[in-house]
Amino acid sequence: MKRTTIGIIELREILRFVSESVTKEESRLNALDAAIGDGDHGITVRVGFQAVRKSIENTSNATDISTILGNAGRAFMDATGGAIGIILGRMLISGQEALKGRETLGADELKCWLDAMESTIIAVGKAKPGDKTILDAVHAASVAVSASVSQGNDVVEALLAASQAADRAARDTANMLCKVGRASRLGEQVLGHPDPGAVTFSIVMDSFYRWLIEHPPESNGTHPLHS
Amino acid sequence: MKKLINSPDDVASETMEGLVAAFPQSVRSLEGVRAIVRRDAPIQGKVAVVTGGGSGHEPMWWCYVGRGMPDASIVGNIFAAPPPSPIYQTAKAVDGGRGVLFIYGNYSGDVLNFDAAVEILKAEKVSVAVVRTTDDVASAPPDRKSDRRGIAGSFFALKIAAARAEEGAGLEEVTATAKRANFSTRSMALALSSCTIPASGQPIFQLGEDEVAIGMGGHGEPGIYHGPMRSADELAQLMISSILADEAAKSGDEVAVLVNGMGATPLGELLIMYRAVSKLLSEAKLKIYRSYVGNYCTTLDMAGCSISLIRLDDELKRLLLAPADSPYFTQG
Repeated sequence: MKRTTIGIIELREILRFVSESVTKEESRLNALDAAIGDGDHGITVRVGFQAVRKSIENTSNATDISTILGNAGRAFMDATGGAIGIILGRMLISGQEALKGRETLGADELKCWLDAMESTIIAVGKAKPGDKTILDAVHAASVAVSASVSQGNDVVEALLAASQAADRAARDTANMLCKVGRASRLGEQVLGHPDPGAVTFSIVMDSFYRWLIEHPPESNGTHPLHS
Repeated sequence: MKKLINSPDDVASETMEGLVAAFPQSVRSLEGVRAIVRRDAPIQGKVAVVTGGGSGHEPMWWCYVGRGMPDASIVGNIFAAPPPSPIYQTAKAVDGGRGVLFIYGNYSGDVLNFDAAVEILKAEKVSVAVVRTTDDVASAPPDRKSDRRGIAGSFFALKIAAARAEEGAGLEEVTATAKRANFSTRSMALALSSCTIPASGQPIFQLGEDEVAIGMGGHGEPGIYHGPMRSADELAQLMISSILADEAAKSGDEVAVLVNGMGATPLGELLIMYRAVSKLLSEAKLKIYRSYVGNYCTTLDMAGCSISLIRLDDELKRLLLAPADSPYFTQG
């Protein structure tokens, strides 16, 4: 049995899993940030996704994936602040607008959401691809998912493409100079260090994918979470 | 790491609760919002001056709220700008009907979050203006002054603009005064040690025992120069010459000086720095109108100092000396 979409129950579980993954990576993300910033990126995203987790528990009556993403984004933003708070918060919220009325998150919806994330970052953060920001990872994921969708792939395959592309792009940011944000003041000191926001995004995409492959639907077609 | 805290995640909110408990005569908290507001806010018919930023720089931003000082300050997490929603709610709570002027340090996180709040306020027809402080000469060259970050010298823009608002000036005038105060201010900072963020317990950058970092950011962004440690007189000379080279003031001008501690530097050392600064300024034929020496804008437990200079005219002098009553700045 092959999974083709993510429903509301799966999305809740995936966001919880993202929160766990990001919490595990807190120290590594802090260390990456210390090289080019003030060393608190891991703390910020851990606090943000803990708030997302709480928002999922407090809004268990949300009946569609778009509301869940909107609530998650507002919770993230309110708990964190800073540039990453508003950018990651709005990236989640962009899913609320992009997926309005959709019951499940399939490959097409993933593509819509990634496109929305990309335009949100460009509008809010004034960043362009190549500026050594989270946008580099999102852009790469978006391109990879578009290609995957055009080949007729499902959401699991699309997420694999997204997470591989985001991971590669996040690593590649090590070779870039910062063009926007606080670290843009550091010039060549940032070379050799990847952008922590881009790495975080690759962790998020990887967590989406890993949750799906670690929780395959049962062969009779019913998902364990539905039973 | 040894710190007098309960939980790293509660540092900002518990610091804020401590401030309100200690200074109820000046400030109060705002129900459900992480912000400090003047005890008697909103003041009808007065422009509200609202500031804010990440915490960890106390007393900067929110310990300077009070009469003759900003009406409110939104409290962010350690080194993180506050989110749009509390900025919006705080502005609404202190708006006395003549508009709101936001003054904050020019950091991308602050700009993004304050801009998002301004957008909502404007949609609700609240008159809003924004002045971002850009006093740090080390953070961008003179042809990109507006890209510079705001450090301890932001104190002058806050104090002066709030005094103008207290006199009853309108939003445009208060904004113009705040801009003038900001453009007349130059700062330069040095660090002798890193600071430790409570949640990570790690120093945020490495600085050797015998090294000094000059021109670093208030959040420990690595400095533009790491070099061997020198005497206070030599360091003061380096800092003052880069400030003066930035057209801070010319011979005969009157200035106010702020020698600011980063958190872990004893007052005695700041006074030794001030001693050198006052000699250098007098050699440059500048008249020191007022001086401020102490912790105004810290970076947690960092050792080091910053020097700020503001060139004064009659209006700025009057506003600088106007009465003020906030938890960490009181006069007249």
